[in-house]
Amino acid sequence: MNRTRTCLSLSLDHMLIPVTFVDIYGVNSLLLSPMTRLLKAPSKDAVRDVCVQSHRAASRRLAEATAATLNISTAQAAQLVHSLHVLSHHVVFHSLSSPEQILALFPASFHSSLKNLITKILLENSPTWRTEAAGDHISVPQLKHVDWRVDMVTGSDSLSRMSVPTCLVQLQVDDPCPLAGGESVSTVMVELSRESLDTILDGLGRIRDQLSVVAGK
Amino acid sequence: MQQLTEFAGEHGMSAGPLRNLMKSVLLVPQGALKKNLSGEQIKDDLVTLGLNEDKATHFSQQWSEHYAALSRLAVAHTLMVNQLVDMEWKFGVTVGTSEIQKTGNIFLQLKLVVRRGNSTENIYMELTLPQFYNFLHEMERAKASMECFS
Repeated sequence: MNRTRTCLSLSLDHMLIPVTFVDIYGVNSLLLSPMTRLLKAPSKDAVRDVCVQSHRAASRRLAEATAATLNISTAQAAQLVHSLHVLSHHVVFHSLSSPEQILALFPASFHSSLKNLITKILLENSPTWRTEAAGDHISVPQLKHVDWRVDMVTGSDSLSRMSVPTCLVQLQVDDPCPLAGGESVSTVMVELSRESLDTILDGLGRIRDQLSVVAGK
Repeated sequence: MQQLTEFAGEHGMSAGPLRNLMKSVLLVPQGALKKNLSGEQIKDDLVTLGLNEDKATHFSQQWSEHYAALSRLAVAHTLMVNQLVDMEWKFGVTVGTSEIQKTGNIFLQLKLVVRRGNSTENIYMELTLPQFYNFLHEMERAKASMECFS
């Protein structure tokens, strides 16, 4: 019980539970036992809601809402939400895909139909959660959108009559971790001459060839 | 500049006045290039300015020969906004993250070096595989559009 209490005080002070807690405390029976409170849920959909929302963040607001739905204390709701959060992240981390693997995590004495319901909900949602996690990882700014136009330059200060095509490319880049005060979405405008565009296509073609070699393996 | 100084040395004159002289002289071909003058037109202009017939003919011959190269150089001097100077790339596979222990997503990272004024700026970005194919497709369309014009 002491161990669970420490987890609890940290979860109320910091809105998000760091995933390292899964490693430190592991998924064990002590962690999962608060989930029996879900037996008080008014419907299966209510259980599903709590599970899905806990995955995103084990926040105080969620604990309060859950306490109201299940008619339990906020402290008990916080424990419940924390357990669900840790369990769902464990399932995603280890890519558990069969019901047996998830059922094995519960203590033997756990309520059988609740166990099955929670397992079913976790299996339903884990592909979505997995895709979200894959897209949401740390990275350099990501390219969101590409726009281009080709202009014909017909005059300049060094040649009053000319006809030289030039390409303008607008790249919309989304920075998931902007610097303090910095912008999240930035737009870059780049001008390319014919030769530059040819060189770029050369490079991109080489990437494509290498990718098809890798994909073929 | 080097050639001018050597020339001045060979013919026993000082480099300073020669440089100023050359600057004014260069205005003629620069203006001619700007107005896309032909060999004939340049010869007429030079004669009007007071150069004698043979020298003007010789100059206009040289002009006709080198006109294409000179135009190309002038085009290279044309203003370009945020010109792309270099592109570097790397791609790899994400093996795992703190959220998923084993994964195998391919990522591509691009570094674009863009000239802003006198200095260059590096722009980094990451693309997923579908984004890469989309980018390749758009660039090929841009190239096809450019080819239409030549």
